[in-house]
Amino acid sequence: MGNDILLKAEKVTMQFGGLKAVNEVDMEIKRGEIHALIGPNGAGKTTFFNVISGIYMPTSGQVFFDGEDITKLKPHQVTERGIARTFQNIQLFDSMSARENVMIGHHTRTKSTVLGTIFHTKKMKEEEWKCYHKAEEMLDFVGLGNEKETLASSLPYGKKRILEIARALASEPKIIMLDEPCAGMNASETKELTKTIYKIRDAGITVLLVEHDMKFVMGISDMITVLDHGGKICEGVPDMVRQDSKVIEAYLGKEEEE
Amino acid sequence: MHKTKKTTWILIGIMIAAALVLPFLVGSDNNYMLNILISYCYYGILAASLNLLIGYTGQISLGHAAFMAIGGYSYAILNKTLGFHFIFAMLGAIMISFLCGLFIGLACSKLSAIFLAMATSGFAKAVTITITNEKWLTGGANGFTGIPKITVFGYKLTNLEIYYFALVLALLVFLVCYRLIYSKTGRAMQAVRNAPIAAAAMGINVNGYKFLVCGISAAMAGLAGCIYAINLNYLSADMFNKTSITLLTMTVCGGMGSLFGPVLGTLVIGTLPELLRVFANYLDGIYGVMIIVVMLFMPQGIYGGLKDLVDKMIKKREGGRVHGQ
Repeated sequence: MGNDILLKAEKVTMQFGGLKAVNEVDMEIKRGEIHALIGPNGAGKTTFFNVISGIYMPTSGQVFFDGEDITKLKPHQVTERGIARTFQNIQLFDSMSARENVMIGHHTRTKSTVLGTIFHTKKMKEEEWKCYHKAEEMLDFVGLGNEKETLASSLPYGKKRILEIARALASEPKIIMLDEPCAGMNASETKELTKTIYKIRDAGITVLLVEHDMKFVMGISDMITVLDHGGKICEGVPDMVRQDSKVIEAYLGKEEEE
Repeated sequence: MHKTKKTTWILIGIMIAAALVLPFLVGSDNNYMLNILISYCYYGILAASLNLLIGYTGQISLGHAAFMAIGGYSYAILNKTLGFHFIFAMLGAIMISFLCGLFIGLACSKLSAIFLAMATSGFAKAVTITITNEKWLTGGANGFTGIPKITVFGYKLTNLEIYYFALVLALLVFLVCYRLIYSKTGRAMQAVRNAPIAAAAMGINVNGYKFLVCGISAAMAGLAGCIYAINLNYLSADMFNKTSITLLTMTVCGGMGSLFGPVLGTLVIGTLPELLRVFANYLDGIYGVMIIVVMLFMPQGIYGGLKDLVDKMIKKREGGRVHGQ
């Protein structure tokens, strides 16, 4: 049954000076699931994302992806293995169009080299077309079909978040990690996003998301992991997490403190 | 896939036609004017190479002339001292510049923004000092004299032919830049400049690209150095002292991050010293003021500013037409 597990974190610890931002967190994410990571501000969610995507090297512990140890890989190698992500504070390539942004997402799936581009080889031209169509397909998939040539910096906030998702999908990932995808979105945009996330899951891509919008998280997730002060305090299906006393305490504080 | 606009092709066509005809307009035996035309070629190559580095990849180099000096001196040594054919001397010089560029590329991958600017300007100083002190190899402060004119099968090229040779090389560099920019590589470079963390998360080897672009940019600057040496038959380290700032002015004023910006910058800044001969002592000051003025009023450079202006005018005309109906 080990094959069901796509991503596995084993006792992952990330220490910054005296602060343990993530403390011995174990986590297993099943293939094809929508898995949410929640917790109060400063619980270590984004740090955990950064560890998995290779931006931080954990102080101790290991990360396995599809059975392979990816703890020490660099970010671009992690992406190559099939892990894509979006960012909490939007990180688009502002001076480029939506299409170009998504084309960059496909970078890791193309093989032509710098020499290939200088000499304009046939293989490189074919790959450019492939890249171009991939971007088209992904923008249509997330519903940005009308904004293909719009400059990333001039898109409205909600669409920027969606564009980040399209860009991540263009790398043909096995898992996509969404860092607060609903932040700053209005109710109808959130509804659209929910549909898109289901579509992603149905396309066979596992989803791991960090989110503060509890209604959204409880509605969409198959499994929820709760972090507080860097440690895992609860894990389970939404109904279980909702009633867990530790979780309520983490969010609302202890009763006697009132 | 990038589709080039018709207007862009027309612009390129006019540029090439003008470059071909110009020597005859100024008189093909006018060596003074031919020298200026040849300087456009190597300055254009330099500005284009700096544009790849600063404009597209966002790596600030304040010592780009060092690569030009390395290219020029390598050519001179290979060609005159070691007696290589000029083609092989040029290839060798480009290769040596490329390797030196990779060396600075290592610094690029470790240092950011202002620290890289300082490191590259330090590198340029080190190169100049080395050239001045290694008399046995470079001629030291007296300069490297007597670099032979290039000959093809015993025929000595005239200044006019050297101009066309330089022009072909400049166009080749322009073509390489064009292909690099409108491709996977160019997109990756811009991604590195725009948002390095996101670029890495998209599978781009950020340090790898910085490293490589430094090498390519230095190789181009080395080629410019070769043309410089071939044209003047003489090199001296202090010729390169102020070139880094001139280059920066060309690239920044012309317009970073666009293909034509550096071309325009080269034409404008390359012509200034000739027009302002009387103020020769104030030239660096004028460059400084120009950078400030352009940054304040046209952050996209002269090219970007002009383009905005033209776009606005077209919009206004079309808007007016709709209004009239």
